[in-house]
Amino acid sequence: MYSQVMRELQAAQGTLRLEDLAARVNAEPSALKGMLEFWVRKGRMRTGDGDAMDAAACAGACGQACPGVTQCVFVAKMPTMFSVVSKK
Amino acid sequence: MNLPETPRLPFRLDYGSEIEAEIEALQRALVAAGIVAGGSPRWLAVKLVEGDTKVLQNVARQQGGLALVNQARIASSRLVGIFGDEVDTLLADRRYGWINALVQQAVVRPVASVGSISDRVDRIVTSRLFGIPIFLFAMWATLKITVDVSAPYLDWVSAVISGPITNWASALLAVIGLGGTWVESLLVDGVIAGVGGVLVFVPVLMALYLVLGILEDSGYMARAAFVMDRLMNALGLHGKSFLPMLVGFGCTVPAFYATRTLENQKDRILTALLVPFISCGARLPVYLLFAAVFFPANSGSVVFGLYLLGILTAIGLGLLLKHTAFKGKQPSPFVMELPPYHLPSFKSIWFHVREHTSGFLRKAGGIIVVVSVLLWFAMAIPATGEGAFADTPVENSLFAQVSMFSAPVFEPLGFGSWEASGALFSGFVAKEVVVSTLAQVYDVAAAGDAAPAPALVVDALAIGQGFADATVETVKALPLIVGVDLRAADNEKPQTDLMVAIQGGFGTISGGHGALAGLAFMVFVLIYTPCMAAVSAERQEFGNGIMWASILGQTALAWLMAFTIFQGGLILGLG
Repeated sequence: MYSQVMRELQAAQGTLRLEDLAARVNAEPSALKGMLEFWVRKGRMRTGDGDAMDAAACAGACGQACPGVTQCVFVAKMPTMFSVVSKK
Repeated sequence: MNLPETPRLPFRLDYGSEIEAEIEALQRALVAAGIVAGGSPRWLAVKLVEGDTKVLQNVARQQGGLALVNQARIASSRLVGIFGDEVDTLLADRRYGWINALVQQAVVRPVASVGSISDRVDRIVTSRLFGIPIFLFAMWATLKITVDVSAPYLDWVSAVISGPITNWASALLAVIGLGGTWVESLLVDGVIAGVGGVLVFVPVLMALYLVLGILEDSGYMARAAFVMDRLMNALGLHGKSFLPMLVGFGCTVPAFYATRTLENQKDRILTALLVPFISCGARLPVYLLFAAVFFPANSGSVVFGLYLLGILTAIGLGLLLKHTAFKGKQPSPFVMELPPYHLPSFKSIWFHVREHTSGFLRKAGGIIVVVSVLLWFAMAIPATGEGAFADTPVENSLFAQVSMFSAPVFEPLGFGSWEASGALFSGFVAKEVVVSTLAQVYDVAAAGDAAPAPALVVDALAIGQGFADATVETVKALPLIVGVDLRAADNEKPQTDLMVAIQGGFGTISGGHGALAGLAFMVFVLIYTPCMAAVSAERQEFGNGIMWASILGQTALAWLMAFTIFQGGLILGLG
């Protein structure tokens, strides 16, 4: 399944919705998500967006570079992204 | 034996003949060695073959366990040789395959959920054909609502600050014997004019955050990120770059941190160079003020145009850099999980509006007060030898004289006045300061006007009446969103003193082409360095080199674009 998912991702040459990828590999989106999360734990994929968004939120109020309440529009509800870790 | 209690699995998952053969061999060896611990030897065998560290350590401690561990390692190596992948990944793959098959067999979804509302809406909202136009429409509608609906409240706040609040402050100072002194000038012409000039935009920002909150809470904003990702990818840019850009609509500082979503350092730097071109909320007051002065009939469209110009500049420059200095490998593909659509909750939106607005107010009460006070002192100190402290014509002040040095740089752009160049320089601190500086500069120039005596009850009634009028006007303005104007035909919006002063100042300095100069000024504000906090964040994330490249590049590009607009407009006979 991993290689099938990788093939589909490469073929898409861009962003895919989880539902679209699930349809392409004939999988349930929830099952596919579990698998993607397993590959994140294995270091083959990364999300990282949570960290980045936390850092963004941590920037605090607009115009301040200190931790504080999330003041930044759009920070709160961004989609979760899974990207393939490129081989060095 | 001290092995953990192993769960009894009610089923046997078939991992395929090669893997099963290894598991069975290990299972037999475990039983033979007596290492079962009352649990399932199959479970132990599976854990051994997939290299579970804890189980390997536990088994290795048992009598004869080391031989079993070695056998497991050899079995794993054999499987890696056959499948070309790690055994735990192979096993996980089989497990998820089994789960998937089970879900497909066992779960019967209602017909409605096969094509749920979210799916059906997504088919249009994220489609290749309609995705971008819908995103642009959402942006336009957001700004249109923000500008049109909040305008009456903006006028109300402006009237309250320049009227009752200013009068009360003067009256209070008179009571304590400071009336007519430089302290009154500092408070009225410095703090109230400066901070008040920014505070009048609170209703606008509240309206903006309200609409953005609705878009975000409904789940649309995630779709916008998806749609723009795809566009960026199609253009050869990293799709993930748009995520920090979306954050940048709120504030550039967190947008720099959001570049951490990008794996590749080159892509991160490239995105960091583009993020400042996205209009942050702080630039909105400048746009609104100038659009109201020079394009009162189309202010919403002008503001939308500036937001769009920022995006197009970022994409255009990104393309240029990606094919030159930042040439590199194609970005890794990725998958996005979009949250389902849902009706926005009042609580969530109110939190959104309250947090963002209080952040803006904190900023107004902090850095903008400080800058306003500093500017007042710079405008109070005579630099030409004429006048005395707090009693000098503003054009002879230290601030004016310093600003005059840089004014000629902006002459080809149509706004080569010391007032404009001074506002742009103070705007390096924060973009709202551009407005507060202009408010101070022109307010100082108009100082000396006699204020009416304050009357507490009359003023309070007037404030209440003003609020009620603003609410009625807002309700009447709502149909403007769909192009229907219910307001009275003679409802010509009165211009404030500041607006009149800006119109006069820009008209004079540009040789009668005030609208062109105003537009060039707005574009300059859009493109040049966002603020000190953004510069600091950029330095922290990317170092001094990138920070300076960014500052110099943005300023040069801002000058070039403003020059093109003003001179191009003159050649075409516009404005």
